[in-house]
Amino acid sequence: MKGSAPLMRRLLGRLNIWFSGLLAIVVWILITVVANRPALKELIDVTPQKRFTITAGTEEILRGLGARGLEEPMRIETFFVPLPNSANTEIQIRRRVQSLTIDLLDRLSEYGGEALQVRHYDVRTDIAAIRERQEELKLGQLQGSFAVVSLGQRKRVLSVPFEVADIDVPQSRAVLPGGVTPEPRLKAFVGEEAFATQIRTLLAEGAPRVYFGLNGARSSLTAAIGDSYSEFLNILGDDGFQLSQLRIDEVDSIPEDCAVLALMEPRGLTPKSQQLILTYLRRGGRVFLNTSWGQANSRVVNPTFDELFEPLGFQIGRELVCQAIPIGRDQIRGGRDARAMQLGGGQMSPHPILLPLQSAGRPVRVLDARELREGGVRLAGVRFESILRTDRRLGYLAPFGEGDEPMTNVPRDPRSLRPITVGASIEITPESGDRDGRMLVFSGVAFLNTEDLIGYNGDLALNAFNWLVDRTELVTVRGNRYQPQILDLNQEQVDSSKALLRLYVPGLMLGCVLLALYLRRSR
Amino acid sequence: MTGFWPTFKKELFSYLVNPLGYLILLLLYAFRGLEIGGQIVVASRVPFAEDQFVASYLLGNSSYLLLILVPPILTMRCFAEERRTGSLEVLMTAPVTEAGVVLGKWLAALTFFAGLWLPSVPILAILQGDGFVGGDLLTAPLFASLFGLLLVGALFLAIGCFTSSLSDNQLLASLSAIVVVLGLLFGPQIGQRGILNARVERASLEESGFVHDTLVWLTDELFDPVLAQIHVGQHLGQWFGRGLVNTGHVAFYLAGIACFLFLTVRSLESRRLA
Repeated sequence: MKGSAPLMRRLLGRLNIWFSGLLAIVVWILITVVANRPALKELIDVTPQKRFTITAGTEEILRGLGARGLEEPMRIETFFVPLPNSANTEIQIRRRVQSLTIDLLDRLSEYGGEALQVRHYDVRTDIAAIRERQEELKLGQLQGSFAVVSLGQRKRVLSVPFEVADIDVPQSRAVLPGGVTPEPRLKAFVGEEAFATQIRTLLAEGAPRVYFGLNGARSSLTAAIGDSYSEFLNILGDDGFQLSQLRIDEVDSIPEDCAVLALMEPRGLTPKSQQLILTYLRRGGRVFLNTSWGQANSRVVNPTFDELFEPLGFQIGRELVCQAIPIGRDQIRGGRDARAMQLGGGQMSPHPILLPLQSAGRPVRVLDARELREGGVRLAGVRFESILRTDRRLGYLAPFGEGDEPMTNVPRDPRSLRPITVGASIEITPESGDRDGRMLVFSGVAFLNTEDLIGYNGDLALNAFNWLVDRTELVTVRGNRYQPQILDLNQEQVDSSKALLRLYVPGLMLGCVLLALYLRRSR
Repeated sequence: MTGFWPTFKKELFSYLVNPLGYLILLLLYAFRGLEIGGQIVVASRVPFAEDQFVASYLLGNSSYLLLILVPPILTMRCFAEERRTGSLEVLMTAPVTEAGVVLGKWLAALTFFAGLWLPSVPILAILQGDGFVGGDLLTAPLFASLFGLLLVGALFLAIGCFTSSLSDNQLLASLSAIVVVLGLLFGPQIGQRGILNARVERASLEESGFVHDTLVWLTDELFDPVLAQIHVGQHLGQWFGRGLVNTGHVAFYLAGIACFLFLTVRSLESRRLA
């Protein structure tokens, strides 16, 4: 028994370690499981463009999915064709976009919780399930990679990569001077915008009809040259609006199913048409109007819509709103670039359509605006609110030149600078019924088919239309755009980088080794 | 925590004067130079995003090799050598606590380990110059990647300290640590592949019944989420390496470090009692 005491102690010591080990591992697992619960964990996105962060608007929609009491969860399913790791640029881009899409959808599912189910089908293991699901969704013979957002029987299909990414595909692969072959380029990943739009569209009940008012002076919104609204019409359609055109000079009243009457830079609106619009407003109608200046047959065209605006208690000016560009301490100048302005949060009122833009720091671009100012005899029950205006330091008015480009004369007296309203909201108590008439007027805020303007003002446009049809849950900002920064290397850069990494850095490390050896020996 | 500071200073000094550490540095950056040189040639031929380049610089094969080999090598003589020579008993009679000694040794190893990665920052700073790769490489995702590497390294060093405390044979200590490290780096990947195969098998089974339902629950509800949470390779490549810090993962590493350091202390205490 003499030797049993140390043996027992050793045994107890070993048992102690085993038991402690087991306990420690259990605690480790518990802490890991608890810390990874969606309610407790935090995702810190330190990427320069915050490409893993979704916007507050999208987050709000996703977190609110559960509270909506949906009968079934919303589903997002990807059906991607596996792509090889090839040196072909187009395949590389498609692989990258697929990877970005999966990352994005995994982020969305974290916010949506149980109300949003995300599934990535794998053709290696899920063939039967893929076939069955595609039949259920009635997808037909869709080719390539795509994602489906569905809520019950309703669904929206997104082609990947073309509807979730902005890819610049060269028209021709002919070798350019210098021996460079044009290659496709991934300009931006817009997956969040695309998926968030489809989610919102599925959540919104019904499809409000927008009538675009046309007449002899403006007979088409999609002319191939000049100011085409094609891009704008596409995004309205994607957001769940039904689109129609209305020859406003040929009807006696605005149709009953008109949810919004849109007048995009109208010209030549007759007094009768303007009365028609006013009547529509007074019975609870909703109007969106944006104005600009224009030229027809070398004459400046600046319609003022007096028959419509004056009963509503405001007027539109004839001069051009410009910004004063400082060129010194006390001096300002005009110029062609004075006609374009960027209006940020400080120039916006806390109107529902602008609040999300202010929160997200998204400015609005204005070009060739005219002043909207209160005046005239206002009808009873009309409320005018200035919602977008130039900064106190910026705005001044310059006269248009007859038949010339608009002049941008610098006012002699800088005290003539003042805030100038370029956007207004008008609400009208209806003659009958309980639905207020609403009109949003923007001067110089063009929603043209140009990347510059549509990139800035698309949110404002969609918010305006959604607010006009009382779809307030859809008033937000659209997703972040991720633009990958691509390295552009020439042979010299490649050679110098390789020399640094393969020669100089290891050489320096070797020097450190020798120095350490020397110091050790000398001690 | 008595004994922490003297232990830390002594151990760190021993790492700094040992040429082995600099040899590791030389081999790492020589290997990495070959690796990244190849990536630069690829980047000159196909579209290569800046963030992808930074991630591939820090998280290439050389980095994984460093993670697998260096922590066990740095910690193998922490306690094993001292047990073999008998100096551990002498140390334990000094007015120091086991916790102080363990923490001092671990932190010294971690400090040296962190120093191995530091040259990456000035190298990338030079590479972003006009005559080299260019672009904006010193961005927050770089530091997120370094943070991730440090956390993983700290966990592996804690594992190395524990295995070293269990044996008086350095080789055995380092091999044990390597096995555990490999398990954490690649085990979940093998597990997930197994789950994928199980799903393929499942597809051929009837879609009902106890066996099928149990397989579904085990794979989809239990193993797959757990493996994703402990998949160290995925944490580095898909999260930290891309500039996304998940506090759940940070908690995993911190808890793991605490777990293994606690076990190391317990191991030394039980030896003292024995």
